Amino acid sequence: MNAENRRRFEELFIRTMKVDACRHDMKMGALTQWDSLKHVELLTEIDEAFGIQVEPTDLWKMATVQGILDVLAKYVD
Amino acid sequence: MRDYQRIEPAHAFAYQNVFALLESRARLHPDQLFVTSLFQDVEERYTYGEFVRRVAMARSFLRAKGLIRGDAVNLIIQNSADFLILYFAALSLGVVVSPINYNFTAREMSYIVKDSRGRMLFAEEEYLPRVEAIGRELGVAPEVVVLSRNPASGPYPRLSDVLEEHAAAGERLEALAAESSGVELQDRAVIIYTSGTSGYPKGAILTHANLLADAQAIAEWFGWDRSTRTLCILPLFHNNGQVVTLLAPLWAGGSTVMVKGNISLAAFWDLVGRYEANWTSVIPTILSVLLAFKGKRTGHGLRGIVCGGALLPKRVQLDFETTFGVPIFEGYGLTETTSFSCFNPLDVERRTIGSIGLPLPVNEMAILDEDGHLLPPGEVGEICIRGFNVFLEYCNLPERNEKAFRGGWFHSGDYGSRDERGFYYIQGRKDDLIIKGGENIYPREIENVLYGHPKVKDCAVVGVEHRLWGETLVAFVETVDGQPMTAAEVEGFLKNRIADYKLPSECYFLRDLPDLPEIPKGPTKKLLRTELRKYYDAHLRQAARREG
Repeated sequence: MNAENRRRFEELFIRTMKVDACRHDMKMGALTQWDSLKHVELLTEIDEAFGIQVEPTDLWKMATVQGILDVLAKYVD
Repeated sequence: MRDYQRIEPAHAFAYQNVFALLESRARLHPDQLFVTSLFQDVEERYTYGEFVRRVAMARSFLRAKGLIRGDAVNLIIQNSADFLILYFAALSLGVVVSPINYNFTAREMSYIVKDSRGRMLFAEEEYLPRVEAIGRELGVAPEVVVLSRNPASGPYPRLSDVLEEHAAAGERLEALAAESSGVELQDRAVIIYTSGTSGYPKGAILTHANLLADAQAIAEWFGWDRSTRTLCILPLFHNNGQVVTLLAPLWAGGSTVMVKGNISLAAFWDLVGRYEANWTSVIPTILSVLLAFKGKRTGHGLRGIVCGGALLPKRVQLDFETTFGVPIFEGYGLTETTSFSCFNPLDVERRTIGSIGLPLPVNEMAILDEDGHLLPPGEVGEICIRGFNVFLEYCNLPERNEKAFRGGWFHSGDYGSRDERGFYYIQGRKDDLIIKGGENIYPREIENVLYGHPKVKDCAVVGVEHRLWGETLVAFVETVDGQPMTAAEVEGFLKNRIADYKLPSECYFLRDLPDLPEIPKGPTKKLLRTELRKYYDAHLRQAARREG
């Protein structure tokens, strides 16, 4: 995905999860605050920022930072 | 007064147990679709006939493991066909099913395994670290079956691989029906764990009669039939998912679509459209989340949404109905009443927005005062319930049972009133229960754990309003001698002791709050949570919003 969209997502992730940095190996469950409730909050923020409609079969990929970047690349770029 | 736990011929149930209902549907409509399960990108579909064959194979497997009527099994499995196959297989043997919230810590899971006397534990591979910790915690752990979802490449089998060895059992359906007839209506069917004030969850024991009675009441209230297809997005470890979106459509001869809860919300309307779901059941926060997403879909086939589990703000209901054109039927119920006790009427014109509706025919409801006297319309008292859907008892909690069952009524702990027309209204909780995203949390549980930290002198946890979750948790901590402490220290201490969803979103230290010298308490040293909530709204909410 392009650098600008990547930067927008990383800022959004840091703000939502209240972390110091957005690392691509971060994943739901492993990061304490990334539970299922926070995940939906993250998805609403992504929706607000990028306005994408994700297919049900792509949702499960969005449980890691790298997975979200891959999905965003598919729908946004 | 009617004794609802004694099933009398006058109130004969059509089926002797939950499995008999499934078997009856499979005999009548073997080729009709019953279950669609979407897990990650794998979709499974089962007709009634095919599903019962799977259940027969699973039942043969459980018998081979030595499970008999009265034993218990624990499931740590997400919404999926695997969960349902094991669930019905266990119920057909009279084995009690106690599902475990997969968000719990190993400590909380261990408590449930021990309390429910689970003999076997089925868990998905991703929960393996916590399952192994259960073994260490309990010393003598139940037999564990770890299930994988991937083709047989790893060390653990898929359920379908396990059942392959029992394929012959799937061909002996007549024998299956006959053997299941020994399971009685009054037998224990499931133990559902709900939040407890003491720091551990409490298990509500539901019988086959409870499940059948509530499923029938809900299906009939909404006029469900074979064309009904529910979308199950609430987790099956709670009774709402199990009863409203599984057993009620089963009663009607309809079908259900199983998806993994919160994660699926971003594709909610796609799921509704793709699987032609016409009903679903949600908690109010799901409606808020769907309103928050930009994609506003109309032209779908959703006929109605069942909503309960927390107060539904009128604004959310009206916004949702205007935006999506789907009527919401608010109701009320508890784990202890199997699921719902009352609903707004199906006739949209007769609904009363802001009310939890009229009692289902399966139970009676009343507003009682502190002495157990019936209160007239308009007066606020405790909501009490009695009926075929009221649970048997709490597991291993005799004192709690005595408190909950008084004068022939189950005392809900919720305050409310009813109007002249018989519509009920919720006013609030008798205790300090916080409902965050549909999960019940008692602040005392978190405080009890926090007191174990050597730096904590005093603490309080309160629920504050959250735009998506209804409520979230905020902690206030006074440290010993005012020594410094950080929110990260608090979080680090609580993590692995309580489930992540119970962790406070914000943590404040009294040493940083000069206008809050101490945690507010009344003359009897009772914690004044309302005062803390007011303080938060007045001094901290704006700052938290800016940071968040």
